[in-house]
Amino acid sequence: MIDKKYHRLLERQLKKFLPGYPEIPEQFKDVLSAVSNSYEHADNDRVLMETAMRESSDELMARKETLNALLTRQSHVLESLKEAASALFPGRPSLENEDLLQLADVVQEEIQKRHIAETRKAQSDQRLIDIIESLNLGMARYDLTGSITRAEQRFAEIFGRKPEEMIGMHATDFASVDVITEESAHARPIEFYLDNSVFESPYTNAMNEFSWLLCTTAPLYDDSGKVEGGVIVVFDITARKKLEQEMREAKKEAEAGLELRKTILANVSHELRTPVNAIVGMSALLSSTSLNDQQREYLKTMRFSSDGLLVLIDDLLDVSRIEAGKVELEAIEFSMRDNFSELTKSLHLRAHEKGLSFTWKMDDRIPTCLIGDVHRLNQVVTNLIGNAIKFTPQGSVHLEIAYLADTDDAQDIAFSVTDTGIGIAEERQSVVFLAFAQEDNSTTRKYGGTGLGLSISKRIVELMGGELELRSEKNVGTAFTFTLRLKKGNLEAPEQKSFKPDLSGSRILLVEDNQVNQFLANALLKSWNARVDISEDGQDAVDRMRIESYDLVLMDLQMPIMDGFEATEHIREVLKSKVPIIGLSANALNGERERSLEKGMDEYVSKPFKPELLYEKIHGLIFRT
Amino acid sequence: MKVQQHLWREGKGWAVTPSVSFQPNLVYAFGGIDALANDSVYGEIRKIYPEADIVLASTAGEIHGDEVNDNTVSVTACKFEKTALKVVVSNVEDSANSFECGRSITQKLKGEGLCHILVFSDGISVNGDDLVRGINEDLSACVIVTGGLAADAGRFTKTLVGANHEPESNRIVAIGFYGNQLKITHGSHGGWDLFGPVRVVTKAIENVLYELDGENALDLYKRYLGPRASELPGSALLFPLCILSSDRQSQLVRTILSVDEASGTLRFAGNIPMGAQVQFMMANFDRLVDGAAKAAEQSTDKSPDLVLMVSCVGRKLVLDQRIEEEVESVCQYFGNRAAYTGFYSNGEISPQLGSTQCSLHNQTMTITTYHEVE
Repeated sequence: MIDKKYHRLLERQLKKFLPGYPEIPEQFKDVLSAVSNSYEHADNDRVLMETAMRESSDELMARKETLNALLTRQSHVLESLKEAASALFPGRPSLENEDLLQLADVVQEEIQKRHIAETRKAQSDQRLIDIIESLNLGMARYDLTGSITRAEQRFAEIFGRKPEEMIGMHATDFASVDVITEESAHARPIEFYLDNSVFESPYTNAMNEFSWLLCTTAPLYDDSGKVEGGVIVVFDITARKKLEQEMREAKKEAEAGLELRKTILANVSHELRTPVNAIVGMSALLSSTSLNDQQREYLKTMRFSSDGLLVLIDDLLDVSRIEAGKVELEAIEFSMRDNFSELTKSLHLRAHEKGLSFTWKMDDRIPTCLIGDVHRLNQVVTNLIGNAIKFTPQGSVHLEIAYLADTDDAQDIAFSVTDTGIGIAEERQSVVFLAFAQEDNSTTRKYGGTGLGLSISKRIVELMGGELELRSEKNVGTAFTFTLRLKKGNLEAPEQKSFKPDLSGSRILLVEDNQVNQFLANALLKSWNARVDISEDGQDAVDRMRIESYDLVLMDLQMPIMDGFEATEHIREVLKSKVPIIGLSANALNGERERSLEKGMDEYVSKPFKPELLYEKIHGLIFRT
Repeated sequence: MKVQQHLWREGKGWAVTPSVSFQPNLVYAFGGIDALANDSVYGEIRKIYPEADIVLASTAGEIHGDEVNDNTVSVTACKFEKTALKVVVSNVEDSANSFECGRSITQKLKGEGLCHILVFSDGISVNGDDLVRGINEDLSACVIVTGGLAADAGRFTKTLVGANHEPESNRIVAIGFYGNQLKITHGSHGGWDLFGPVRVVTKAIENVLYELDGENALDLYKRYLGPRASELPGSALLFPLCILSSDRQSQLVRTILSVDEASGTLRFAGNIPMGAQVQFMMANFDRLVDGAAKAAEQSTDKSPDLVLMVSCVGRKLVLDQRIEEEVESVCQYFGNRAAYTGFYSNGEISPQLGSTQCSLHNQTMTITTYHEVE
């Protein structure tokens, strides 16, 4: 009997090799059991080994695959890193290396380099900031919202704070109002601060110190060129601002002073004209009476003085008018040659009286008829020649009228006045054109005069489109030159007016409250054979106009009861009369002329008038139709 | 010194009735768990040697001469003529832990001329690593510590240790050797092959292993054991775990003492450090046998009086019927003059190669040789 089943292999071996099997001798049983156990143990060992090897193999395979995946990934990473590194650090041949460690070394090295470069840049930035600080400029940076991210020392000082306290504050916190644009800084969009802007702003800092600030802003860009914030540079301009304010106030004062001067001038000229008017008028009347030689001599001196006074007053008025831009040029046809033939007669006389020779010359190519303001031209030339005579102790004065060029309808003509006088030192030449200026004070003492003449002449020439130029040498002589473009006229030769005043048959109403003026005007008009009625004021004139008819009214503007403006208005509006009215006033300023014409007057003459001018106006109005 | 050996067979008594030719001062008795538990062997030995210190430990196989037996008791009586001895017994339950136990043993044995401590410990309830560290803590480097953890034929349920008393659980017996005429040499070698991937201990608490590479350690073992998984924890001895040093130059081998299916953990005979690199090992018959020979070579005394072998239960499980080959290779090395005894243990205690300080080993053959010089 078999007690125990043996291992399969042992069973087969026993079957094959043990005679009498399945009978097993008793003494073999233990040994056969041991052999069978060994077989089984070996089998178990094999199964164990196989299992373990399979598990181990699977695990190692899985790990290998993980490693492979890792390796593939790593090689991708390496490639990416190499690409990135090549882009970042071009021209590094070592980047071709496959070794990740070496690549890391290269990157490390480059980063180190960059770090050094960045440190240097930071140092250089700091140096720049130091320079800005040393220039007393406050600087700060802010982000896209305007919130300050960095403030330099000086910036903080200006606002009376510490730099770290400024962090997070807003750019608009330091600018309450922009004094350039007068807009509230708070109302401005942040874009304003992220752009190139300049503004001035008042600021009272934490220490209650007031200051004026000039602020400039600019955008800051990141590496990709995108705006990442802004920088503001602030400069304390309190001192400058204070100076500006003082200058503004000074200017205002000066302007007020100038205005006052004009007013005074106008008033004074009015007050001066009235008596001078009387003197001139009376002198004229007196000279037509029978006088003895002594009386005639006294009268001559009196007329000379009053004429001079009148010129002075006229000059002052001219300056005022020109400064006020109230001079209008006339455009009348005239003959250059006839005009200067006449003009030079009196100048000849004046030169001769001083023992000087005076000559004048005119180019034949200058046409007989030209258009321009001949009176103003004469004023300039007379002034220049008058000066020349005045400042030339001996020698000659010469007037030259030269042809320059033709255009279709005009001609350029040069006028020059040359003398052999005392001359003007070079350094003073620019000054002589200024009003009230002469070459120096000693000149004024020696030669007299107001120094207004040249200033007026220069302005008139400029108004006529030319420029008055000066060449002079001390103690040798002076030459004044100006060039004008004058339009050509149509007349063959303008009629030379002969002054034979005659107003026979004309009836004129003189409205004047001032007795002296009344007397003078009345005498003049009567000497021109006019019939004259006199009214003392505007109301009387209007009353007279209701019952009488006149060919012309001479109307003073400032009168009691009813002034000239009101009377004129009444005549035009109520009486519906179109009688010619000439306004008379000693106040040449403040738009009196304009106001007169506006109220319906036909002409305006300022007192004291030249009899010729008044006659011309009266004659022109009465006989215009 | 004089040595006399007797063999007791479980349930059968002495193989040869012992005759006493000298009065020994120390008797080793290594026996199968059932023989020690049931046969009252201590009493039988005491009858023969009424005055000697009798030291007993349960085994997973008894080495007696060049034989390996099961279910026997190998009794070796020694008379140390020039060496003083001191035997101490500790109860693990009396100490806070295994480390404290070890410390107290050293304190009790420390004394003039101490040259060797031989330790036999309970092989289940004691953390061998901690015990050895405790012994080492306050011990001169020139004192050689060897020994082993008792076993229970690979069942890993209960072991017995005792001295001058019936052997019991939870006991640690230590014998101090004093004098300068005792020549002690030692050797320890494994001979296992590393295989499979290197793994990292991702969760472990002292000697309880939870996870390797994030995977449940018990599951891993079961996968590798295949059909033998049902034989756990014994079959785990087939794949000891090698703890690799960071430089991979030295290795410590650890075997499993028990398995906790509920928590999926494995309890080892020594600590498993967190983060350590470990690798499975497997047996190679020839190399295991060679390993025993190498352990013998490390024991530099060529003519000892007594050779004490403490080999691992794992080796016996693998070598099975061929287990005697490793004992034979040791016997061949030292020759016929020496007496051979020893047992298959749950853990071996011996200095690490190249070090004087002892450690707990697993899966090795450790050898201690004794020789009293003139």
